[in-house]
Amino acid sequence: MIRLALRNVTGRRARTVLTALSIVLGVAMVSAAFTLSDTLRHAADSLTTASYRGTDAVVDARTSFHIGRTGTASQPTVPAALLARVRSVGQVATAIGDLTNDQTRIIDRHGNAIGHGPYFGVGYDAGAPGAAKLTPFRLRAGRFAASDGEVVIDAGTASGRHLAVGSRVQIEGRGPVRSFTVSGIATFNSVDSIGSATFAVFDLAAAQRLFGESGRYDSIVVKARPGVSPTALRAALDAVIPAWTQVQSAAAQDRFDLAGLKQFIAIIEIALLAFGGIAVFVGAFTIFNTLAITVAQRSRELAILRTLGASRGQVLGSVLVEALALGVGASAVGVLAGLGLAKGLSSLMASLGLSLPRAGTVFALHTAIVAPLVGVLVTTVSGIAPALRATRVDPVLALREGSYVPAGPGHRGRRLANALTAVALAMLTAGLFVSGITIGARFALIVPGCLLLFVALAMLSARVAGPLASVLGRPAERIGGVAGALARRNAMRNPSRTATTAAALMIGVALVVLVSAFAAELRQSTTGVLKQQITAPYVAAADDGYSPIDPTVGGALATASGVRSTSTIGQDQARAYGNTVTVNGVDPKTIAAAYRYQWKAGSLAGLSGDGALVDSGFASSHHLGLGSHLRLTLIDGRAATLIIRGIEVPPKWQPLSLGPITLATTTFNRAFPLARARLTFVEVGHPGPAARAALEARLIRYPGVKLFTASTFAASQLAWVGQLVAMVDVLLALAVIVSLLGIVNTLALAVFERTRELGMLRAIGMTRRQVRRMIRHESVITALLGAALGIAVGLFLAGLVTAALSGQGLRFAVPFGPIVVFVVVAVIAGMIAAIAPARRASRLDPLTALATSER
Amino acid sequence: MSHMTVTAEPAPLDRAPGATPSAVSATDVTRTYGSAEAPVDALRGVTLDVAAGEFTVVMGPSGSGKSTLMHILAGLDRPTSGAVSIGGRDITSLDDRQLTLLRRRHIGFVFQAFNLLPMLTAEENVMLRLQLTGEAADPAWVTELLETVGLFERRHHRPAQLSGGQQQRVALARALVTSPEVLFADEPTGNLDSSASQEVLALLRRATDLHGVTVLLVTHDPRAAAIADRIIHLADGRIVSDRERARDATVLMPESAVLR
Ligand SMILES: Nc1ncnc2c1ncn2[C@@H]1O[C@H](COP(=O)(O)OP(=O)(O)O)[C@@H](O)[C@H]1O
Ligand SMILES: [Mg+2]
Repeated sequence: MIRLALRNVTGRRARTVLTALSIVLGVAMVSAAFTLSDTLRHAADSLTTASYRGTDAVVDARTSFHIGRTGTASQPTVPAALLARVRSVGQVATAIGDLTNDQTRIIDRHGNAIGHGPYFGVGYDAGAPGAAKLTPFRLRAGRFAASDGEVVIDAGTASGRHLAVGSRVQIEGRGPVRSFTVSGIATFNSVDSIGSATFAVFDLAAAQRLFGESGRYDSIVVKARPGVSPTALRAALDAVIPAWTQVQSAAAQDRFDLAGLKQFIAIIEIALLAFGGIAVFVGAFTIFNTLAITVAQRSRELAILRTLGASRGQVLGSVLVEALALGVGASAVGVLAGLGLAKGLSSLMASLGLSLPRAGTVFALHTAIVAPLVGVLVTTVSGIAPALRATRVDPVLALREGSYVPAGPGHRGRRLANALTAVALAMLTAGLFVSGITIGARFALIVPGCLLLFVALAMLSARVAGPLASVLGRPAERIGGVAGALARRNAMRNPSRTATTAAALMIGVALVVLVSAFAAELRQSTTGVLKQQITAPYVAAADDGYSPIDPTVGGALATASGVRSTSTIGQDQARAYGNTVTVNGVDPKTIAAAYRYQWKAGSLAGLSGDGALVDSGFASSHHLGLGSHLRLTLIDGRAATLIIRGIEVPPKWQPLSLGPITLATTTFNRAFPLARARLTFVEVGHPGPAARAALEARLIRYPGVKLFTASTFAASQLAWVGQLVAMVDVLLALAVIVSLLGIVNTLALAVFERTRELGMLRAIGMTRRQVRRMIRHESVITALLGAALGIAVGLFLAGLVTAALSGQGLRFAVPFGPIVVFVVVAVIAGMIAAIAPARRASRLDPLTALATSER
Repeated sequence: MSHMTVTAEPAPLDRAPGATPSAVSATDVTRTYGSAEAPVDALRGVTLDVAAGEFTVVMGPSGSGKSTLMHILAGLDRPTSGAVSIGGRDITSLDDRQLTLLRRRHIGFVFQAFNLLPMLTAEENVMLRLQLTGEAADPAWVTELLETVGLFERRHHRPAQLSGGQQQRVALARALVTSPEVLFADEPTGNLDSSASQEVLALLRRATDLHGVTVLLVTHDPRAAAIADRIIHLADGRIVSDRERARDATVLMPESAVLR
């Protein structure tokens, strides 16, 4: 029996290859996800080691809370005098002051920032003896910057923008943009640049002036004398430095935020694994369908085996062995293909500017074990139902003439499908709506719930597939004439088969619809809220909408002609009630004209000195009322006690994420000396092209800052949504391709099964073109069925998620545009899937086809 | 109207009144299957001329080449050598598309297997043939045909709900719906019981009598001899006998019905 099963795998090569391919792709994606992220992680690790290797200790200011070296809060600095103190320690060989921030944009010829950040700006004391051992920068050309007007840029930027030693380049650090001469080009260790980051390395003293940190350093980097261990060095330093400073290893201090890079890699890994998993899951439908159809087609053969004395167990085994062999073969190929796919993905990422050191590909044990295991398990499990169906083939069938039409899902199947749907919905509802459970528990309910729902819907859709195909086939009938009409009837002929084939596509479509619906909701809510909140005609903000802008922007805009007033919102972070919270600074005199507050109690009137506004949620969770005291801990350890003067009700959906605490600008600037600004509202007498031109003229000196209206600001805040959707669509394309393979497979099997019919049609006068058209229309009808089911399920899931998130203020929105696109894509996909089966069908010789014995 | 008649000129498909029509003709047709090393000569030089409106029965032992001859005459297969013409038009030089269109309009087929589309009703199976040509079906004509084959009552039934004889009668109606000049029937009663066979044979004869269709029927049923105008015996790929039956020998065929 086993040999017979294997003969089935090897005997029909084209079908086996197609079926296997649907699993190969998923396994390859899983394998690629592991391989790529292992490789990237390894690269990031070696980059960390290499970058911090020569540095034995870093001294910087102690912070009262940790938020990473780069990000949304200003870091405290240390005075230059501390350097002399560090150098005086006997175990120290070399110590240099260092400035490193992530808001120093290199500006291209069109006035846009190069790269996507972090935008590293570094002050490096190249002149200090032994400094070269304390920096990751390696000159490739030229020399390190020695004066105010010079800069060293990273090799990635230099080659990408054709900059060379001697070129002039604009850089926006603190204050308006300035022009520099490129004195050298450096690599970051062995890499041209890290990911999408850029580097601008200045002379240390020049950087101090540039960043407004005269006489101060972000940190002091130290190398130990020969024979002194880093630990001993750190202990020695710890004994002499002031209590408000700290000494750490370079990797722990991590001034280039390589830990952030590793987090990013971890996210990529999860995303790739998720999409690989989805592709495997979709592939399971193809495996199931192919095996189910071949079992039906082979029912005569199976019946003969049963009359010859094969037991049910043997029949079951033979189908399962076939699935197992398929799974093993496909998984082996998939793991290897994954290595290639990983290379492809990594060069794709490199072309998107995410370059990492080209360390060797890492093929870890879990790649070799988990990826194929997933493939084999999924394939074998998909084979169980068809195998069970095979055991139910009646031996009497062998004695009967005529083809055997397998019964649709029976009573039991239907009840099972209903039960599965109920369980799936219960899991989804619990995962989404039950409060007080961890995120992990939510995912543990939602993910399997979702998968189960898809399986259940695939089973249930057999019932609606007939009528739905009938409706969706109408256009085919209109367009395709008799070929279209026959295609429609063929699609309705075996509803459970059509349904399973379509269900595979349904999954991909449902997920993209879900994501698109969510994006549409975000767009709708964000635009609505911002238009409601922002009454100023113009907003100046960073091009991405959330990065900090220079605090001098407001002043620069205020003097433009036609400007009535400007109002700048500062933003930084502090600690309150044990949490890191966002603190805003607003000017109580100007903000009311630009931004609409909703008051629960108090008003802007009391906002001065130690007055503070809090939002209603924050107030109620910490039992604060007007006149209550609020204690803030700043990052440098200082404390500030504030008195609540107003409680505002924020919109449920907060695209500006202004955070719970607002101070007057003057108080804010005392608390946060860097005075990081988030945005500036601009009131003008007569909004229009003239006003805009006047404002934009002022912003020429701030290339990283863009001028928006409330609605274009909303669009800029949502740019990431579009990017995310595009990325998800690309990754889900794999799942859609796998489901197309399923359509190809089902069609090919149908053509094989209907050989005689096709021969007859040709004999009575159907042209080859009509045959092709018939197959093509059937394919398109199946694809449309998948799209229709997917759209319905996607919208349903979106509604469920929206309901669960109703507290966030999102409202359900139907993504009409994307839905139209998906339908068009489904039609095209159906046409593509039909190419090979249609060609095969049209090439059948009518006589040979008619001579085919009944199967 | 004799099978001996040799048409001097190829007659156009739309028969000119008064011309002597030759519905099907084969000249020295051979057909060799298989490889050059092990050739199988299914036909070894068949020359045949069937007059329009003639009812010809082809008989012969199994493997004698009857099906091969039918296929070649009907444009489903090509001869290895020799010429075939339908309605005076040489078909050996036609390409696949032209042959398809010829089959669609001018030729009808009935096979031993009924080959109905299982998802279509009896009526839809019949109409299908018309729809292939893209022309509007004349409901009266379809109704008449279904009534003729005795299936009007069951026109909405699917093939699975019909007996073998009924299915074959649907197949017959499907073959006749485009009013073909020639109808080929290759053992149409091979799968049927005696009474169903008798019905199908009678219907075939009526096609000739009522509509002037030229019929070539392959059968082993001795009763077919009774309704034939002409009986050809094949053996080993050759015509071994070719007899014309006296018209008055059959009661089934009134003289007047020959004309369309
Ligand atoms: N496709 C084919 N390939 C090879 N030999 C064939 C093929 N079709 C028919 N033959 C051979 O040609 C001969 C005539 O066959 P056929 O025309 O089917 O005979 P009949 O219909 O009289 O039984 C037989 O010997 C048969 O084996
Ligand atoms: Mg035969």
